[in-house]
Amino acid sequence: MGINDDPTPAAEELAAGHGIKAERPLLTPVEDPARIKWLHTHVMCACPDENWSRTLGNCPDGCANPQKGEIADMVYDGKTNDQILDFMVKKYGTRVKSSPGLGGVGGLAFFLPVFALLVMAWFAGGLVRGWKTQGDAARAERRAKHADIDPEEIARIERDLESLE
Amino acid sequence: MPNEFGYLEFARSLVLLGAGLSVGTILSVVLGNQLKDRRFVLVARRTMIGAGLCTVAAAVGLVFGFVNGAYERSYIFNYSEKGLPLGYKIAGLWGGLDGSILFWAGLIGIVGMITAFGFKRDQKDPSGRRLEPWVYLVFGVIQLFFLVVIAYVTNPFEHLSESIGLEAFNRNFPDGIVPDGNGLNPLLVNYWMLIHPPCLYFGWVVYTVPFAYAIAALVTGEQGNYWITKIRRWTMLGWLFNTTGIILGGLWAYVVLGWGGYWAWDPVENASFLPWFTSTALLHSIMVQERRGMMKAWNAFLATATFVLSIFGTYLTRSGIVSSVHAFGSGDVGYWFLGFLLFTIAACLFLVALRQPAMRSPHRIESLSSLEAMFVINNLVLLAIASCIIILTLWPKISNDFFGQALTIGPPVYNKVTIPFFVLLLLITAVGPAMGWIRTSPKALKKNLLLPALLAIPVAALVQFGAESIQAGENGALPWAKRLYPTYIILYAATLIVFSVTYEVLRTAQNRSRRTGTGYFEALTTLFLRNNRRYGGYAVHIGMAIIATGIVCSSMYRVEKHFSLAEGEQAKIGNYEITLDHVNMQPNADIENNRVYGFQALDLKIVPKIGGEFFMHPEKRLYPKKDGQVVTEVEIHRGLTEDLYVFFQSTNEEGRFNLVVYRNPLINLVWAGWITMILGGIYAALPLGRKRVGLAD
Repeated sequence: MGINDDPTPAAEELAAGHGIKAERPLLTPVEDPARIKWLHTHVMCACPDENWSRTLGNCPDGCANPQKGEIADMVYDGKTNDQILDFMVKKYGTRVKSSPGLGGVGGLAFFLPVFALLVMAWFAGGLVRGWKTQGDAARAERRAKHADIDPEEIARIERDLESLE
Repeated sequence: MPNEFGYLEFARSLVLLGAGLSVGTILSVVLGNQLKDRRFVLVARRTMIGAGLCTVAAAVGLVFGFVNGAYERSYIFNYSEKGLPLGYKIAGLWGGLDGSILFWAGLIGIVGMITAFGFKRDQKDPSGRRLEPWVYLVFGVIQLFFLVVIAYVTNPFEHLSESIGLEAFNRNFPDGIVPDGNGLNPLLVNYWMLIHPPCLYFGWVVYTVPFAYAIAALVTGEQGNYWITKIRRWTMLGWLFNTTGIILGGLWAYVVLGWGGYWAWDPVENASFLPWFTSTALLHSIMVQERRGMMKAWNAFLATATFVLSIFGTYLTRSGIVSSVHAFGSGDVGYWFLGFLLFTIAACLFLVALRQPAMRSPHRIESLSSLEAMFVINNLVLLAIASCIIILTLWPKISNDFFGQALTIGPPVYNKVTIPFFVLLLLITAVGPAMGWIRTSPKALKKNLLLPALLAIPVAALVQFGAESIQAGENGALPWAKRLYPTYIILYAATLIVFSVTYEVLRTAQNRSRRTGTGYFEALTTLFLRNNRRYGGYAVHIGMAIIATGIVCSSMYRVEKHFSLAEGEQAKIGNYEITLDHVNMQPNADIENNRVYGFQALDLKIVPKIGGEFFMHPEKRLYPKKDGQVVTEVEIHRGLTEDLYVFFQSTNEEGRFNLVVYRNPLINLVWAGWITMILGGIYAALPLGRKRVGLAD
């Protein structure tokens, strides 16, 4: 809890500090915007305030500029995406990658939902098969019950129903 | 302890009184059930209404505290200040953790009271009489939980002297008067703050009613359609508010956070989304129960899952277990919610397992090519998406705690995992209108679907071409693979929804016109009026298709550029020429209702190629009361085909001004789709049209 004595900001406070100034300007990465966009999506913003909750692309604050600048420089220097991501991991730690690789614990994040889906599909398959079997039986029973109805009459009803559909 | 505002102490005691009355509700139901005495139900109803009134009165008391400036209360001190406009003073109620829990409890009180009055009206219905006490029991338990948490864990009435200690309080405020508060977080001082959280909370709270009915049905083994009719109305209401809350949250992020987007798969965003999937699934499967008497236990499960997920969302937001841009922080309250969550899940699973055999329907799905089969698949896909989101949201925590590996699950993972399911969901939505109940012949399916499917191919391509031409290659060409998947596939599925619905409506109106001999438009109007549920639902589907189109185009074809400009300099993005005309700096501004902040604003002159210049004024504000927090006010120029979005990032060493400028093509389709969905939902919820006759009957 902060209790303030003087709520009025000094002029120089606004002009000089409090995060308004960036450490470096970020110029338009004209070299390969699609690639820069991809990298900004796959690298998390390392600003301390963000607590690894935003990608660089979702982090417009000035504090992300050094990191964006590093990426722009490496793209300019001809580094591959993997080399850039490796550099980021070395410098900022494993949490900097927004998408863990397919191997290891990170990969489980991709496979567990697929596994969950397979379980669900298996469950649904069983459920629907059971319903279908019983449904077929119910239909057969109903047909047997109405066996005395003229087949032409049934065909006429089906035609009518189809026209309604 | 200084206590100038007696009503706040009174409000504080109302919380305890409400908790006592909730205990009374629970005991009345249990005793009434044991003694088989109906009079206890009346007692339960009255104590529940009493607890609700106490909670609402306590919340109103806190709002009065905000409005009157009772800054000696810790919560009010931290979330308000004298200069705030009245609306934001009231919004302080849900601006922080403690108040938001009281707000939630107050809403439960209101919804509980409405439910109780509904039962009073339904006394002649035997099903209603049977379910009534158990619904009260569920409400009693939930109310008790929230009121105990408010009283002992997150008390918003706590005095500053209790939170910082009496000695520190006396040192800071020797005369015992706290003149002003610390102020609301500037990011929250936005008009969406007044609407978005209440919508979301109300939606979540409304889900308590279907949950209570489902539990009551499971406990009593009630087989009739009474509870499902009640559940549908309340779920629809909750769904409308939940949807609105989610979209307004996106809109808030869009106009406040400055990154030009609206959804980032943040854990808190995910938390708001999870109950939406199960409630959407429930709204579809309810129809199967109404029409064919099937899926009763499944519906009870979905109603409980929706409530559980709303509590899970609260747990995620308030426990601090996941990193989020807008979590409420961490504390003991997370453990309370976890305990309540586990208790609820265990009780629900036990009840569903116990009653499932008795709730089996004699009717079965007779063909996979039927509407009920489509609803089952739709339910499974919705649940699969919700499961994926839960796993991915918790994965960083699981990875860290169980495998010792710190990692992040960001948007690329969510997109990779969920997009195939969303595509499937869109396709099911498109095929649905072509299906009939029980069985649809392949011939009929072909007749209903072929033309829309063929028409959607070129139209989706045209939409894609349009979005690409707006971007005009500024971001570099999208690779062909991405142009096809997900871009074209989603646009195709969305277009197919619109065409299949339109075709179905036109065809049915034509049939009706032919059959009844009435004019075409008369037949169309009659259809809309007689079957508002179906056509309201179709409007919701069209809204979903519009949103999908907006999301795909605005994210795949977004253009982002960074500029560093000095006064008088120019830059170009797409068809816009941007000139930094003037810099306006006001370090000691005292602008809105004496809220003190300094600001630095840029006057940008924008000249579009087609002519008609306009100005944009992005600015930065510095709030000394919030430890010098700097907040950027983005500026958006909205257009029919695209938004021009300017974020004033920083000032650099050479005295230039860094700007991030985005062009977001077709982004307004997201908001337009939401409005369509809401209007359709409201229309579907209206008590119009004919009484539905179940095919099972």
